[in-house]
Amino acid sequence: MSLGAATDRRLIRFDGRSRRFVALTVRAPRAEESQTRPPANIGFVLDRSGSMNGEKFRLARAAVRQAVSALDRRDRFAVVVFDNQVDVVFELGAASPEGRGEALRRLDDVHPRGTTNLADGWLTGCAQIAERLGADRLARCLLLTDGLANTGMTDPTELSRHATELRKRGVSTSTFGVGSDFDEVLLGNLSDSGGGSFTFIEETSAIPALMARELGETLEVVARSVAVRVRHPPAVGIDVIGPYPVEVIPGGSQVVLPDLISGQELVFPIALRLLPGTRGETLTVEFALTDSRGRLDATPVPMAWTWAARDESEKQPRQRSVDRLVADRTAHQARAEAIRLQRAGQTEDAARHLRRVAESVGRHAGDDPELLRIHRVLKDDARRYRRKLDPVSLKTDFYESTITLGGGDLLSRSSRRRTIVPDDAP
Amino acid sequence: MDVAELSLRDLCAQTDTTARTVRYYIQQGLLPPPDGAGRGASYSPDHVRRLETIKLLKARHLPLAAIRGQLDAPADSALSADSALDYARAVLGAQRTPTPARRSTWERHQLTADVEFHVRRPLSEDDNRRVRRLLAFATDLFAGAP
Repeated sequence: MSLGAATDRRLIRFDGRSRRFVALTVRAPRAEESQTRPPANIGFVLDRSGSMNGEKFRLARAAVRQAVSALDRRDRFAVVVFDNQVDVVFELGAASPEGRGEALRRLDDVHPRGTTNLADGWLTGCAQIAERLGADRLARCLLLTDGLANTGMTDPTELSRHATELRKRGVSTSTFGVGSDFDEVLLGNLSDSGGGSFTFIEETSAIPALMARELGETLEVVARSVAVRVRHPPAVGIDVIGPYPVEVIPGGSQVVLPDLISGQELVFPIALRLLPGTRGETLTVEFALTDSRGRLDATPVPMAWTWAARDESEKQPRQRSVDRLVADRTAHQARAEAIRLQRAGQTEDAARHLRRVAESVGRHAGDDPELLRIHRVLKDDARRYRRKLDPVSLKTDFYESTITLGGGDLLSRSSRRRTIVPDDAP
Repeated sequence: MDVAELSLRDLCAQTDTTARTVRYYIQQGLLPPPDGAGRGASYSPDHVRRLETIKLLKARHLPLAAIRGQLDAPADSALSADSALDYARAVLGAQRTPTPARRSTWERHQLTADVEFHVRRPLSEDDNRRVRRLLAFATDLFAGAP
């Protein structure tokens, strides 16, 4: 099965508004050994602003060298560098030995300087890999930076919107933030909207290995333009507790998911906002997976709720596993928002926001040990966020929250981030 | 009514907004008016998208005027692009419209009735330091002049 769904409660109030949660589990099929992967257009976009000078840029070069060696002749790649000016070091071309050699020779002549026009660099990279992009070809832009976007378009909301539009047109984006000075909220939003992933590289030495890992996962993509289609009456509202956007479609809504890699499993909750109805009647909502090539099982999964009296609804049993998932993701979402507020200098607001969410989780925890634990952690966080946190703590918290919110594998990613040692770093 | 079209009640339920807010946004030009009027008025997925964007920007404490700017900003030419290549080029093109030159002002220092020293500001920190030293030196020099 590719899609699973579970709800917290089956009864809804007939005489008032209700909110019910559904935990969705999406599983991607495993790519078979014999199956050839689709060819890819990969864009390497490197920050060469002054702060990248020395070790960082040397390792960024090594990262490109290692990554292009994983591509084959069917693939194409481009290399773009940016400071306040954008240079296409290697225009989109075949990943042949000659092409790779030429690109790396040219990259050796690039030296860091200037300020950071991240938007133009990224958009130029996207334009490069969008060239000669057929329906079967995958295109992913890998953007690496260590600094703040301080020239050109710098508004995270605007950049996210462009990432969403480019993704709809077949070009996805993954981002890498190196060190402690970059804007994690901007890079996180860019990759969430761009359908890729965000990687925090705390140790410079891990740049080549982490870029290689991201490229490896990109080449293992088995399903693109993935969405969960939700068929529901018009008066039902849907919110995702996570980074995935909801779009209105005829007959309901759809939750837009990132590209799925072989064997990947995503688990995330959605909230359904429900209006009053007739007591005893049933409301049915259907969930189904779609993707561009029909590789996922599109069999709809129906789920029904019944309008009931208030006391019946309040006494009904709860599916605690769904409650726990919702609380965990809500906590991570609150932390991501608190980090944004800290960045904006609103330290008090950040702590207040976490406290409010902690109280809300506490009210619904009952005697469930896991919910009580989440409540305690949030309260501790609220205390911690009362003072301005150092940039590395903010990035570590943000990175863990974004991976969890995406429904991904937190443990493997965060542990790899800390321990990986590049094997061909110069 | 087309399946993707919504009544005011449905629009409010889907976006967790009140009818009053929707009417206010229409009046302020943040939302286009619905098709039809009164009970028959129908709203489109574009209204849902715009309302979600407004909520997002309001959470960032942006004033309505700035929100209106953002809603109208996404270079329409880019949005109408079919391919990623045309889209990226359209956004890059819109980005490259010349930015107004930085405003600068001339500062005048009269050393004697016949000698003036002019500095165009702003200057970098280093140049500022040099200019201060130069001015101090020149003032001393001319102060002793006959």
